[in-house]
Amino acid sequence: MTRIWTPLTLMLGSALLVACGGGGGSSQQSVAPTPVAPAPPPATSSENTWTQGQFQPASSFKSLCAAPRSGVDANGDAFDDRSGTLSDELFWLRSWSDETYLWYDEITDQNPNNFSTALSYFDELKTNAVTVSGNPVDQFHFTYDSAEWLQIRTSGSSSGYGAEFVILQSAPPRDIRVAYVEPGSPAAVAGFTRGTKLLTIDGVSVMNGSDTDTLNDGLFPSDPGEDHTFEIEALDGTRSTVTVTSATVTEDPVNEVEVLDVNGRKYGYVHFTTFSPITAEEALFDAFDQLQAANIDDIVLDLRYNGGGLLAIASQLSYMIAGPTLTNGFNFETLQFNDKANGVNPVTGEPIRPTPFYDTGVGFTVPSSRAAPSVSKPRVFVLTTGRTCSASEAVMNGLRGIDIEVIQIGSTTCGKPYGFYATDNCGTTFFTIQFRGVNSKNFGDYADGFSPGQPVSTAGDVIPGCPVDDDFTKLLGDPEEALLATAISYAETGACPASTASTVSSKVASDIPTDSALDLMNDPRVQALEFSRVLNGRELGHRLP
Amino acid sequence: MALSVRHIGLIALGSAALMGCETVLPHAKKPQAARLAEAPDAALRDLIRNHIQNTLGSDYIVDPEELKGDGRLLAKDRGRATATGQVRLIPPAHFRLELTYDGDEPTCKLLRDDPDTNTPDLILTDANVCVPVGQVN
Repeated sequence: MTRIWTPLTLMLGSALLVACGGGGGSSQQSVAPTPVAPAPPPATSSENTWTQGQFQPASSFKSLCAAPRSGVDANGDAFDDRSGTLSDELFWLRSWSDETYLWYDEITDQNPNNFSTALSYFDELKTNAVTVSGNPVDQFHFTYDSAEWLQIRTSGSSSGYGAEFVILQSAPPRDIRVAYVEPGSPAAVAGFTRGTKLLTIDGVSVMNGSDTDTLNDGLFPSDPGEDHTFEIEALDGTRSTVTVTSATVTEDPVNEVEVLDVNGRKYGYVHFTTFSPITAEEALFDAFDQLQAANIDDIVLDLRYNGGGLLAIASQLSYMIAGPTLTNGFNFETLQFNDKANGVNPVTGEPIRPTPFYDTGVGFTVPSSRAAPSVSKPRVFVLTTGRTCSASEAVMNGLRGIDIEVIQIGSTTCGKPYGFYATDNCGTTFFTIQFRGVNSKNFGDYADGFSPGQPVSTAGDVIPGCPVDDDFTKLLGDPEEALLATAISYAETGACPASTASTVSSKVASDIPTDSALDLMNDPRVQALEFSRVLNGRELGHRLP
Repeated sequence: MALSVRHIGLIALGSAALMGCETVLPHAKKPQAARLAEAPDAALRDLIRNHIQNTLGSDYIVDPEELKGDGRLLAKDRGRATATGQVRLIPPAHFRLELTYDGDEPTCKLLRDDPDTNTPDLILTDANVCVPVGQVN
């Protein structure tokens, strides 16, 4: 086995787990009922007139605020708020949703003046449709305080330990493990590895502790230089107590690249963690340069914790897998807006153009003069979990759009073929789904995620592959790790190992309770970055030659 | 141990006290699981949403329509982590409607239906929007 470590490159700090919300109360004590009366409606004189089905342009209500901001934001940009009313804010939401929401025609038009807060009304401005599995079609409808969002979006680094944590059970009895660590990071130095189980944090039990503030403070240090003490259980069962100091951690998007020689067959294995723009482009170019030179037989792409990122890099990665011949004449993805768009992006006003398979650098960290390497394979094994999301799913979908055989090993992906433009109004930044991405076969409806299934299906979101539980008993890249082992077996035999799902499940995950909340934890430090090209006015497809 | 006359006297007093209580609340109704009789109007939806967002936080989203079915409501993560990559511990929260009575006067409350929580109840201002689960309108 040849192991090739990528150079540790600079990257944003690991976002990891944040904030313990709810579920941690320790008291059975009941609290006296608190009568709550509806908030009084705004004064009639300040209300706009609602006529069902008739919408004024959103621009006529934009920035009319009940509490207008003054001065400048953290970036020094002046607020354009003007004096208005809550009714103005609600009517802006109504018109903006009607103009840009992907499923605008499934919104029930109600009088905004009946609502007392923007968030309460915003929650009405979405579809209630469900997928075939019964999940809501729209699971991404949210807001941020604009100042908080600006801070998140512009933050250049974050504090942490260089360990990616996985919440296997978010409510007591909690179960938090280490998914992987950054080489050389404080976590790695302290002895954290994949599979390490957290037992206590600063003296508080991870499993049942009610002091979630202490748990969160330890898991997600806000500043570098913080010391936190962890009692951990290693893969071999040994327990130890370590104190780890937080740091500004850089992340390598390609956490690992290897060439594995198993039974005379050479597998290229890439553990790719984020499609972020800063270094992911160069890291992928370097990794595939190595794999191209190694003349591999099969490519295994480990996206199990990759929540997405820039679609341009997803396009590059797809090209590196399929190569020039199989991508020739095809587009990677096209954005579809609601039926009012008529070929024009309703947010930017720009013509809608498909994203091609980029065969060169796009300028993040690789110049357009550098040709992309490729392994030129007609099939790819993709390792997945519920945290495989967005741009990762776009790679799977984009490759399927040109008839690359995508073989999925693992569990169902998050199901996010949608995107949005973060839009501020009066101090709140709203996220409402405004577009979907479709592949060259015009397919993009996988809101239930991609699922590995047998018998093989060529339509819908069930695709060839083997359902396997994530394996926290082995390091990533170990040919005996369950997902990778299954991919290797499939490559050799053309089918899933007979005992794969049940055997692997009982072997590695029998003690891990399922938690439906995890289905929505789509990791991703990402979608923010994924669409930052738009937020920042960078439409890659437009500026490339 | 044999009961003395004194013991028997104390038991009799206790029984009388219990009987006294019974006579104070002769027709007290037990709390009943409830549901909404009709689909909630905008004001009620607004009330429920604000209560949950004020008590659990804005990471939670609910569909008050669910209360029309079996009187239960699931509050869940609205997916904000997809914008930041900051995976949060946002376990689902469960609520249920309950009718309680002060004499014959009903009160309809939205209760947290999870262990180990101290979420305050929400009293719906018009108890008539609630009916016992199983009652046909």
